[in-house]
Amino acid sequence: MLLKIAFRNLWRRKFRTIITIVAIGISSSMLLFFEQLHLGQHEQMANSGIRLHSGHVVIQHKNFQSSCELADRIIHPEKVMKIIRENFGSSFPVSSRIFTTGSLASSDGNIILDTLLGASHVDEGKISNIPEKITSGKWISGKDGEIVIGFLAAKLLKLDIGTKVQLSIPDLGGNVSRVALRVTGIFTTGGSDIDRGYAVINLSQAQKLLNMGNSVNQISVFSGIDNSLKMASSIRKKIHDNELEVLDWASALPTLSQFILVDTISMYVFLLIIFFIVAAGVLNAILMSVMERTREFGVLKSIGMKPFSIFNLIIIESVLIGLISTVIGFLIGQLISYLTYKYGIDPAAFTGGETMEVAGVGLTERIRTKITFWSIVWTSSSVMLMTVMSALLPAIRAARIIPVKAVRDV
Amino acid sequence: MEIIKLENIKKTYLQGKIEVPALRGIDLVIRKGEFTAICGPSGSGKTTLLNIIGCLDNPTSGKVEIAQQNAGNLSSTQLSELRLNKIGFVFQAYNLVPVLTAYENVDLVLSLQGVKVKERHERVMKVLKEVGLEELADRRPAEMSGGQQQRVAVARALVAQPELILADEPTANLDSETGKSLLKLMKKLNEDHHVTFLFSTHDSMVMDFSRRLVRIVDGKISEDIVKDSRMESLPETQNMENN
Repeated sequence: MLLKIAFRNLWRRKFRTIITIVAIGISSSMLLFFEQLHLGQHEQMANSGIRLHSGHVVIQHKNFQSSCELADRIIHPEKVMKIIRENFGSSFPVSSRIFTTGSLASSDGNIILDTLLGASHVDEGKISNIPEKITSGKWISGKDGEIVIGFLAAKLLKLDIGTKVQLSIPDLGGNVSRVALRVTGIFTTGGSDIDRGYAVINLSQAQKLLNMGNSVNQISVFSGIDNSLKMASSIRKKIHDNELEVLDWASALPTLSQFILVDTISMYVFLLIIFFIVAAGVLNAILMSVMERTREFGVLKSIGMKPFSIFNLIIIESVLIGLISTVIGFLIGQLISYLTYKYGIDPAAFTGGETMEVAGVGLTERIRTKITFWSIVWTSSSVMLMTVMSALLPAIRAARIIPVKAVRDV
Repeated sequence: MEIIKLENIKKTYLQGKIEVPALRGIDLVIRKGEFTAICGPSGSGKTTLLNIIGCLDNPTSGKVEIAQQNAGNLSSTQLSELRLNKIGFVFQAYNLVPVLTAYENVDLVLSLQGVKVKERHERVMKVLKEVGLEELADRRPAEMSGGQQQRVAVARALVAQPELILADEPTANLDSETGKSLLKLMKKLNEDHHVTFLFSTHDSMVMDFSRRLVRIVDGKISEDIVKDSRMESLPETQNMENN
């Protein structure tokens, strides 16, 4: 009976009910869309950083994260690779890498390389996003004498595919090694730091130039972003070497992960503000509806309805509003989310054609939403909760109505 | 059996800082099966008295006993239960729930009492038939005349089989023919079911129909007249008359 009265009361004030439902529904859809957009954007940023710099799990010398010195290296990478293959199979791509710095020089000038990556053309080819970003030429093939550079470096040094460039790098002993390399590929990531100061050569050549023997600086495992923490923990238990550390991607890329954390907090603060504005609107609508029906509540109390039942009546009305709004919010939000997932948003549209760069990662790809079950559950349940919480005050007010005053006053 | 027992009931309202006495010490006993009207001019305190008897309002002082229960000792929820099970209300402005049909308005009381659906249907249809509204069971209040709405209100008050029905100016918004028809219905229900009726009114027709007339002036009982010989044997009534 309470449900029937609640439903008919809402239907009696159709216009107001529809306005309230539409307001909550739109807010709910915005909440869902922005939540999923941020999830997608953050995952995209994390993936870009992971594919260029770290991996989902990073195994390296315990001092390398802070020192970035060649001396802080993995002396026997083959042992670590064996442990990973034996324990986790070969389903995850694994790449051994050397990270160092150096300079490139041509007859037209020279530039500092912030990152020179020495890596296997096969293993790194499976995981790095550089091969996909090559706009002219091709990825390294495993032969000595190859280098892949960014388009800004090529532009500054006036290099093209096939032209030679001199690479200078300090080796393990502190002596500078110089070698002439031929440009095999030029890439464009959209991140200016990367496009100017990032280059890739073959791992074997890097090891020779740096006098590192078979050692490397880092072994990266690609286990998937959601699996990163768990995988890092599993590998940590298997590798019994006090000189090495195993990091998940967030620990390996603290700047990026902190940016994502701060951005996530900012988003929730923004959504919380929207939440409170809508909650105030819902409170106002329900309170108005309760005040208009003071006489009715007085009558219901007079004929014996208990205060708790009147409280329940208002809560049921708010639950009905919340349910319908949540369904509408879900449908609209998911439709926008799905379209954004399918077609994406061009980040350059917000920067007048310039590439957007966040925490050193260039956002060149279209931003797509990430639709997850938990984002839907979280958004829907919080909208429901907000609606019911907003009804608490009016419900208490209705339950406390003194029948004689209610029947007489109105 | 005493349905209502009032001892020295006083009620004072505050208008700003000024105390306005509405009831100045009412002693009254109403026994089962009475058909009594409380009458008096506007502002005499009759509606206040009815509200106190209906446990809708609290007296400033004095003792109210309804169906042998001291209302002053009951919580808000217990008062709701008392109203639900022992008292039926008929208001001047009908006060039906506008979103419910005539059937549902009557049924609401039984559903609050927790009566099973099948029994509810039988009882609601029976009482609607008694008030002559079985054909209009599916109509909402807005689709009925004032007289019809007041009959629904009577049916709603009656369906819970209360010991007492309180009617505050039940004919005030009705034309004389409709009012008369409603009073006849109430009197028949009183005679058939021995339900106690207590009216507050200044309608002479209601006074003519009632068997006992309690007149209130300035918050005090000025007259208590028993018009029906059947009631003269009631000792409490005689006591009241002596007062």
